[in-house]
Amino acid sequence: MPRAFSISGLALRLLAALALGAVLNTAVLAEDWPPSTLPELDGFPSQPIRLIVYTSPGGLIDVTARRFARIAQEVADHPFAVINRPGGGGIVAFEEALREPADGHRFLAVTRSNISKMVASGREDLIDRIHWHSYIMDNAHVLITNKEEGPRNWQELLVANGQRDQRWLGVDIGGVKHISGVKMAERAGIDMRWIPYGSGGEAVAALLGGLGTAYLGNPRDALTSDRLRVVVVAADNRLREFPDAPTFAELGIEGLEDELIWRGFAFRKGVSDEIHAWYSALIRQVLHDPRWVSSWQHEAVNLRYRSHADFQRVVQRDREEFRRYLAELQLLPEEAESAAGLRRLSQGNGLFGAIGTAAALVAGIALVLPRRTGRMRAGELALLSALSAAGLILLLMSLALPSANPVDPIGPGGVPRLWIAVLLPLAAWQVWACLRNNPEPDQSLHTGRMLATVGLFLAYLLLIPALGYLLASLIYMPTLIWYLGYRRLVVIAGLTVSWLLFSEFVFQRLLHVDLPRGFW
Amino acid sequence: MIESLFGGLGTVVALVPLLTIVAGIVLGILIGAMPGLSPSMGVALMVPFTYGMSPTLALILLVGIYIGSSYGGSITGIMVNAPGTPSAVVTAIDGFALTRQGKPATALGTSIVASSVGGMFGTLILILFSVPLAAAAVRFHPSEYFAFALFGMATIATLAGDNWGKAFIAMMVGLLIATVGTDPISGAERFTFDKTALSDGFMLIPALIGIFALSEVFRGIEKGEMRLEKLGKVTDRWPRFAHYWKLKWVTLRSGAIGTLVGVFPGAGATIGSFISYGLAKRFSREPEQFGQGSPEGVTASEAADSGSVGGAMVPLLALGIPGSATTAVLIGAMMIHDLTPGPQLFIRNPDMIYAIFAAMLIAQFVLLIVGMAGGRLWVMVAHIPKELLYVLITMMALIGSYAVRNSLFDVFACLGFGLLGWILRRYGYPLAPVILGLVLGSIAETNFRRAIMMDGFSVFFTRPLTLILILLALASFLIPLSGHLRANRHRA
Repeated sequence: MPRAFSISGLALRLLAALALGAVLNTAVLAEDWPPSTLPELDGFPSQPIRLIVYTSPGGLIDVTARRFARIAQEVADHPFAVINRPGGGGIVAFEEALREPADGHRFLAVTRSNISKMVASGREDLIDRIHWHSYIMDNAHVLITNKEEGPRNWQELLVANGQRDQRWLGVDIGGVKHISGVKMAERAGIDMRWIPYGSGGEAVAALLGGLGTAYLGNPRDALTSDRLRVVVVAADNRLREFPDAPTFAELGIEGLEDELIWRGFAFRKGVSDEIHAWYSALIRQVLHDPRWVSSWQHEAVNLRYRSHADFQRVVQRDREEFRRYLAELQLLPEEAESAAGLRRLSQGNGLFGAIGTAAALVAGIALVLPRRTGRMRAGELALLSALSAAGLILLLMSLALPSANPVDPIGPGGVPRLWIAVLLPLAAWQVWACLRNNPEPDQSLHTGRMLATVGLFLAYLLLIPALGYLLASLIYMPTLIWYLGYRRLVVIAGLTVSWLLFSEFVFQRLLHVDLPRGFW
Repeated sequence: MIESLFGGLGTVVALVPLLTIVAGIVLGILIGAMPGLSPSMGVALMVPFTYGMSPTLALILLVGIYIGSSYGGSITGIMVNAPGTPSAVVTAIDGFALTRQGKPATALGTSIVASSVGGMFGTLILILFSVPLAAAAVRFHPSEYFAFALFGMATIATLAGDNWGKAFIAMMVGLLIATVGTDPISGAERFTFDKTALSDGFMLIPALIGIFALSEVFRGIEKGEMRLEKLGKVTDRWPRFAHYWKLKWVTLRSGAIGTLVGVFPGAGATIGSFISYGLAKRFSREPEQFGQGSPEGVTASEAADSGSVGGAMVPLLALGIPGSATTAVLIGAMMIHDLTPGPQLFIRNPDMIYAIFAAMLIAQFVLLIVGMAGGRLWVMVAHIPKELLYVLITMMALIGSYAVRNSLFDVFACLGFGLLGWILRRYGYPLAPVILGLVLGSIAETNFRRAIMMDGFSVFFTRPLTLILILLALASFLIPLSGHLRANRHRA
């Protein structure tokens, strides 16, 4: 239940936050001052609140979410859990939020990266299906160099450009930072090559090793090591943490005052206005909490709250900008060079088509070969033909991938084609070896029983969405144990109940794994 | 440094820190042993429980969980062939073979001692050489990372046994599966069939559980092993000191390899485990035992895996950059506790750093004691009737795959991998090469293309270290292959 603050506690918080806000470069404005209590809602929240993060644990958005959840659960006097749902640059997390009821018990920690990913992957529908609730902070992008070996300032970076083209290290091609990098290089007249790394940490390591001219990242990245230097800031003012680093405007380069990454919170559409108001009050209380403010004070972050309407405008602006730049870079799905027919193969039900083709091929071989070759040999030949068929299907699909280019001379299709080129002759050689060798006598196998077990497991999986995990398991476990020949009823019952209790308490309650509940 | 370390020991040798270490190790082992929960997920899950603790105590707990969970992944690998972590795949090769022979205690004892000693070795390297090692590691070009991955792949020579063709085909299957998902360089969607669940490729944990554990269940049922009451008649006892002493060089060498590979950001424990395993077989007096239940094989993998924990902490503490998924979570935890990871920690919080070092050393002893005591419980798994064990494994497969990201797609993928593993196994194709390809494929491809983007194709010939590593990888692959071909010709 919401907790009312005591006058003295609140006064103390006000004083502390005001003091910190005055010192910091933050936008904790007086008119944003939150109400002292949360609105009372009937029946909400009725279960732990999940804050879904679209990355693996560890990144800056994950830290933001965890810091927020830590304070929010005290302010709301209600449990908050941070859940990581990495995948697809946020698509997996967004889809999960959209699958769940619009009861307000789940919300998303979002960043500007989500917008670039949705645009780049052709999933802008997700942007429209999300309620962009609160913008809570941003930080400017900065160019960082190696203090010992790299350019000491922007002028040296420009000179370095005269000697050879520059490698800027970063993450994702087509991501927020890549787009920022493209804009910076374009306006400064730098011939830049973007080298994408798997994570910011790996890219910073490469910069420290002298493998790149600069790294484009968050100011926070430069705070970790005393061997890094910020040479320029893409903001309208210098950063307090890096007073020697000029802004682009100071260097005479306009239009790069707002290159930043923002963070905020979002919900699936359909959540009631009352719940939104409850969250608005909660978020604003947390943002004014001295612990929140102080935890960001050395991170070169602007803490600024924007409500839904403002946030929505920011999202739309970013969406249009990403569309334009990604189109220029030929990174939009429709811009990619592809053969239409082959592309269709790799879309939608193409998976089933591919599996069906391979299965038909294998079934044909399995029908013809056993009589001639013996069951074991026929089975291996069927396996090899299935692998070859899968290889050929992937080879065809790889032709629809974007081609190699001077920047990436291998291209996304190059390596899969290489593996297939090795697999196919190996499979052919193995077919020859298989036919040359004397077949082993067929072993006494209970393949029917094994297939029935697979069938039971499959039926169980298919039943789970309808019956829910607990009920489906209650049917499946004793059935399979009985089928396998075990008959001690007490043990069967004990094991089933123990497993279900273990699942419920450890996975569902302790680890917040949302086991399917079924249509109940 | 010695005084600082003693100062750190002084901080840690007190009731609360010691209990925290024990709690971290126990929780870590349980997390690692639970398929579906990786060390990074385990550490992240426990971060909220550290909010009320001092930063030092919080990090001691989290590092304890990291150490415990890195070991815990091997337990299910040894007992039911369901490795909890990718690097435990290598442990499962010989560990589960020992269990099938009725020697689970030998496998568990070997793995815990190797883990503990390897981890201690890694921690000592971290304490003594973190700064120069980190400085050297960051200088590695992507071409050298590619060569590392190639070196890992050369382990195929060790895993192939008598049938090279089959082992290669299995590895190619893994390499091809690794290409599914968003291309890490161009961002293009590859072979995803418009399925969001495939945008990051197949998840490794469901693949591991399916290929190893489910296929084992399917194979057992097909072979009609239900009527046997137990997994195998347990014939062995907990190994004695002489057993471990015989393995001292393998342990130290593998611990060193694991630590060194762990230092490289993004390389991961799995490459270290595979490379150590390959070298252990090459230097062994009984190479034919590898894959059939060799304690040396278990030792090589486990010592390297645990050594990599200390290695991965090197770039975190020396440079403030994560060397592995788990250290990325530790960096996040440090930030939540208002600490700035990296060299600043040595300046601003030296007491805390040395307390963590001391805690890591003590944690290895605690791991040894807890692991030995717990091992006696795990051995009891071997007494569970098979019909029940099979059903429990299918339930573990389901919940472990589902827990990765709350997705039934991953459970179906796990079943698919189970069927793939069963059919490969049925026709004599080894399974470990599939995982070798699956884990190393992405590292090899990304670094190969990144190296070319940076310096063109010539980089593989002009950088001496790259060339040496590639030549070594080729040699470690071609020499056994030519030996195998010669042996075949003699037989013919």
